[in-house]
Amino acid sequence: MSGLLQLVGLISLAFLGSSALEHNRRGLGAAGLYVLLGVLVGPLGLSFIDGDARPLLVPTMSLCATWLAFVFGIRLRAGAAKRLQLRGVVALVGESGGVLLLVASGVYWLAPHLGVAVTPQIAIGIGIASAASGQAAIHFARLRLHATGPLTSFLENVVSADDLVPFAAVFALAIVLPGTRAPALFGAHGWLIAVATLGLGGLLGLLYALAAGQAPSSDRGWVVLIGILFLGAGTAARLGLPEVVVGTLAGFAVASAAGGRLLVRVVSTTERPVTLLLLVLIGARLAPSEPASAIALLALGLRLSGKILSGPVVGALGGASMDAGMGLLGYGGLALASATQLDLLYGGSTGAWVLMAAAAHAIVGDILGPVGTAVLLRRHGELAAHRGESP
Amino acid sequence: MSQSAHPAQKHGLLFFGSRAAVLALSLGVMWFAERFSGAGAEGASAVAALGFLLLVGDLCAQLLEPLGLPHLTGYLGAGMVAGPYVLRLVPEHTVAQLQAVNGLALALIAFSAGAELTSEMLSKGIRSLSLAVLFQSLFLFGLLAAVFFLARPLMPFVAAQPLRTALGLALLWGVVSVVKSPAAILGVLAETDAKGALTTYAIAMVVVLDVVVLVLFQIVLVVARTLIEPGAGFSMSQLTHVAHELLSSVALGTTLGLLTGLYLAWVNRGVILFLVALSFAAAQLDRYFGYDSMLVFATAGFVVQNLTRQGEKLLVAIRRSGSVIYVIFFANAGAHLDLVTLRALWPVALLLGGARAVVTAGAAWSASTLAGDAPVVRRWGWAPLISQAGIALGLAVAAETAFPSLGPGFRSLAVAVVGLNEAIGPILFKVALSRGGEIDLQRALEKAPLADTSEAAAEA
Repeated sequence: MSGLLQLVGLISLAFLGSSALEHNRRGLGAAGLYVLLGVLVGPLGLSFIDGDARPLLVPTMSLCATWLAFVFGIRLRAGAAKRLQLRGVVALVGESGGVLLLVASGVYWLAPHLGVAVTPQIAIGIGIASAASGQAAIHFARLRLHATGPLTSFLENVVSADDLVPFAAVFALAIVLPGTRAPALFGAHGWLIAVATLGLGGLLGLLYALAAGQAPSSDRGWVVLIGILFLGAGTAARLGLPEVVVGTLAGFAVASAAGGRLLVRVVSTTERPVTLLLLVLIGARLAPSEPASAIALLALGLRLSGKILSGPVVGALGGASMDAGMGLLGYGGLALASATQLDLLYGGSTGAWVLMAAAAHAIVGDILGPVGTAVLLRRHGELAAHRGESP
Repeated sequence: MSQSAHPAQKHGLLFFGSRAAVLALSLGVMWFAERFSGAGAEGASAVAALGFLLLVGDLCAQLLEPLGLPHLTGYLGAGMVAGPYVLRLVPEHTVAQLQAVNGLALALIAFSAGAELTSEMLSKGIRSLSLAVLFQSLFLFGLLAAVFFLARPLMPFVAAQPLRTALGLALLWGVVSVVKSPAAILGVLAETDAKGALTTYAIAMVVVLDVVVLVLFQIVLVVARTLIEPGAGFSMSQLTHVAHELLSSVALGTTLGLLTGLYLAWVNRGVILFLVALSFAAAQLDRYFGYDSMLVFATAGFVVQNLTRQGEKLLVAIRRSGSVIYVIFFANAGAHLDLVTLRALWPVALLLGGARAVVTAGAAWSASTLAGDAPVVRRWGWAPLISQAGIALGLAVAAETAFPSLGPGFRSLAVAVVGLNEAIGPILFKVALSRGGEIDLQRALEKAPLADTSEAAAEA
């Protein structure tokens, strides 16, 4: 079967699932099902995704990661960055940075006790993939359960921007360890990666501003947007640059040039199908092994502990309650993009183990995220209890 | 559907300056990536090339717009310049990778072509259409085969062959000459939003002629085999095969059309994604069973338009994604254009292309006069019939496959002639629509809202 047909089949599945989830009344995501679906159709399962499609999986994952990061960049410029005041920024850096360090150091030091040797690169990679929180749970609480109040707003602001920390960490890691894709020139001079990444991200924003203008018409705006995204993702991958950083910078620059709010409304509709597609692709690419599974479980435990323990840090720095960590257990598309990025940059066991950990986070985070958020908000009286929709 | 910039934006230096800057910067990015990219980045090259062609194709279309040239010319030009024969920013292997995307674009274009045809349109113009199809098929086939036969001393791959072989090739050339380009016609119509007798005539002609050519080609292939391959007999089984192919294509198309109608009636969300998935699945079936993709998808569109109440929804969905589809298709076609061959064969390509244009115009005029068509069709009815694109090349490749020893020369010549027709045809059609008064500038401007993005986003 044609590789492209298989890929289109996966895209359709992701879209249908995305539509189905719109009617999900409990807020419980289906990330686990999507990862399992990927495993089922992938080489480990029924092998519907065969050798023809595998060369297409990597560019598609790269494109998905870039697209999600691009949406993140636009959203950041359109409002998230403004809403978060200094205390909020410090809180989110403390929260996701703390989880990153806790998981990375925990994996590095505890793995030998499980009989698994882990390199610092893998430990940092798993830490990066574990750091951020997803937005779905808090959005569900606000939109469907009508949660309102200072804690709801605070959590919403934190989860909408806490992917900055893992993205910055990915950027730093790509500069220090350029990865296998980087051409010889960049491999020898890591600082060139920094310059090229910043340059490409900014340039894409400039191209959009020049080509589509301030108020692009609908169709032309889409042609330019899709063109720029594909050009950016493909060029970043060819040059071994971190796509998520290029995408974020491009999104930020595009929103600066062409009205962020309008663009947010336009591109937000694409976020869930792209995330679900990424989940299926990750599932199809998973290479489970005993050590990888053990490390994924370890990372899962460390992340959940880290998130709950980050409550007091977030509370103290951001002026929220000390148990706010309960609202940060979810796992989202951008965190998946970080994990995908590490797989794209380094491949091999680093990529495989990071993806295993990310898949575990996505499955568990989709269940615990909405439950934890609802429990937390109800405890603080920000959730109406009478509607009977809460998990 | 592609839309124009507001007139106030069009003619300023700022407009041209900014577009030229984007062009230069995009070229710079592609050149840098091509020059410094790491190993094993083929998939990424295709992704970057697709984005680049979209961006640059759209820009070239905007830059050429003040000259009155159709957007398709800009897309083609961008692909041609960026492709493997000029700047090599999109190398040959990447162009080959993009072929699958092209197939999808063609399927959606065929869907759209079928959906544009209504049974009312066909029944009202049945006399005019029948005469036009008959004249185009007979005159083009017969006269272009004759021109090819007479011009054989100019073509080394035919000159050395015995007369029987040359005659067989001439007959094949006659069929290739009959082929039109539905993609080019619909692309120009999508850009101009033209309405009127000429528009209706153009759509009906290109879709119906596609079916006629399919049958004609198979018949001529059988005859040509008896002429080119000594000892080969005439076999009715091949004609039976054609009949099967046609009926099966129509049956599959009808099924797809009904499925699409049901989806539009009951779900009506993510229509483009549904069509993309359906088109890919159907294209696989077509390839496996040897069905004609163009006929399958045109039938599906026709069924949705005429047997369900969902035709308008289908057209709206396809039009919304039209700008992306046409840029991809024609920029890709430009990149595929073999300029080396065109350069080598230009004198004979010019002769055959010119002869085809003259015969097309004569046949169109005669048929329209006999049928008593509207003056605009009598005067300009030939213009939409000049364009050629993928289907003509497809037939040339089929001829190459059937006669491997002679085919490469034949295919190269087809590439050269189709290249000329592909470049000139859309320009002539746009001029005809404009002169014929079928382009309503006011309507074109009205349908270019500046910030109607939410619905487009939902579809995209």
